[in-house]
Amino acid sequence: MNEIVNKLTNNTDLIRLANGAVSQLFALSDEDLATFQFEMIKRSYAYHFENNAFYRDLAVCADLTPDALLTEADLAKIPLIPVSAYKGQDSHRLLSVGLTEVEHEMRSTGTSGVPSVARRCTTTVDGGVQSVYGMYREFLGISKGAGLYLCPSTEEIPEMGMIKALNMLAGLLDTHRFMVRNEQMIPEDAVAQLKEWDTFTRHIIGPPFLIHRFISFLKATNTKLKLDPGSLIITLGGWKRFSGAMISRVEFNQECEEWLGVPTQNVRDIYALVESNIVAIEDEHGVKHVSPTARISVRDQNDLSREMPLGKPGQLAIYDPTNFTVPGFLLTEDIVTQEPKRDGDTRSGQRIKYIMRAPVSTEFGCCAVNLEKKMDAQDA
Amino acid sequence: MFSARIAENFTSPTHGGELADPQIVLENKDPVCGDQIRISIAVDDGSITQARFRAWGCATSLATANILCVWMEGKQLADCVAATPEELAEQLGTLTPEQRHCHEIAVNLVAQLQPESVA
Repeated sequence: MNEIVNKLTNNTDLIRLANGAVSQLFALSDEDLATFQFEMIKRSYAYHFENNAFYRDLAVCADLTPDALLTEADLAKIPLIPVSAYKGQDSHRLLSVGLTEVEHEMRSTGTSGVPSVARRCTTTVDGGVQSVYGMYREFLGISKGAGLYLCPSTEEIPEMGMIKALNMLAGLLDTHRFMVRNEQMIPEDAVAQLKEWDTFTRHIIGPPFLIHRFISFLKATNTKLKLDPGSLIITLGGWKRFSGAMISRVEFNQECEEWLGVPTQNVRDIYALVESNIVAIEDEHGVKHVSPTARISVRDQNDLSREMPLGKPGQLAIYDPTNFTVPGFLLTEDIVTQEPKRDGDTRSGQRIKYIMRAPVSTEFGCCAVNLEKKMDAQDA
Repeated sequence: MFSARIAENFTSPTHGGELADPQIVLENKDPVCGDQIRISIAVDDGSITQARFRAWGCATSLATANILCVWMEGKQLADCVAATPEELAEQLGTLTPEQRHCHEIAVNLVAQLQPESVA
């Protein structure tokens, strides 16, 4: 028996196992989960050091060979790859596998129009699918019902990370429909579709700006809907509009309650990044939990080697050991805080609050912002 | 997913960069996916002496940019102008349906070439 366990947990197999065990990892104590994550990160670091000449050079420059990664305090020394590197012409240097082993390319296009392309080999896709579904099951608990997708379909914009991630949810539903076509959404059709689905628990899924736009239509036409007990409003994408104005989360929640009949605890926002396999999903208290297969670190923007204390904003760094295609050690352009554990919260792991895109970022916005900009141009 | 030809041209590009004083600049962007290629070209006596690219997007589009530069260099400008979409498809090799937009980008780029475009 021990031999089987040893074989299953040998080297990077430990990471493969962890991807399918989201709920079990959340049930560990905080200390045990942190130890487990450190072990995964250590193995991932050794894997990329061995298989990626470009990253090995970075590691040597940082004076951190895998055998020098001894304690959790050493994690801050791991060289981070800025997300901007995914947009570059020389992004092939990031690969730890040959291009012929890459199964999937996923994109995120911001308003500058330069796509960020994240490549995944089969093992990385396997892990991403397992952990994302694990997170959906853990926090959304969806296994049936109807999904009104207020976004374009994957058919219309294949490879787009935001849509791909939301589309994965559709496999858990009984039926769904994408309501944006040719960059246009007809809200009357969305209302009619919701009314037609009278034998399903109805969920509304999409980027915040489109759901906000739908609610604005309901307000303008004084149409109050009452979705079902268990209906969820699931959002993914930025809360800043292309105009620069923020959508107020508090107002959004109130409007979901008033115009869609969905209580605040059923409005769930998701944070995800195309370059990473991790997601962070809100629980019923509006607290975003980070995938337990990865670790985040909030860095001082003025000194990136310094970690910020809980509750203090800084630049998000991610250690994602589930990425076998490129080193999953990322420096994002997002400003976040790491949040403390709420009393009574039984899950271990880290909690995150998104604040804004870093002011130094060369890119303002995300796929959703880009989509909104195009839709507004069409409406004009 | 990726042919050996695309993999080779993506991972070991030979013609990346930008010419300081090009006579021709070709530029095309796929409006759906955002892939973008810019090729700067030097011409001498009707012959393309140098081609260099800058590209943003998927691996196939970056490889396409390199393949096009290799294909153009040393050719008569007039021969490139006369190239058919089929000839360009042959240069790119077998593409999956998800990669075929790169052939369109290549065709659009080459269509910008005109014999009289060199002063």
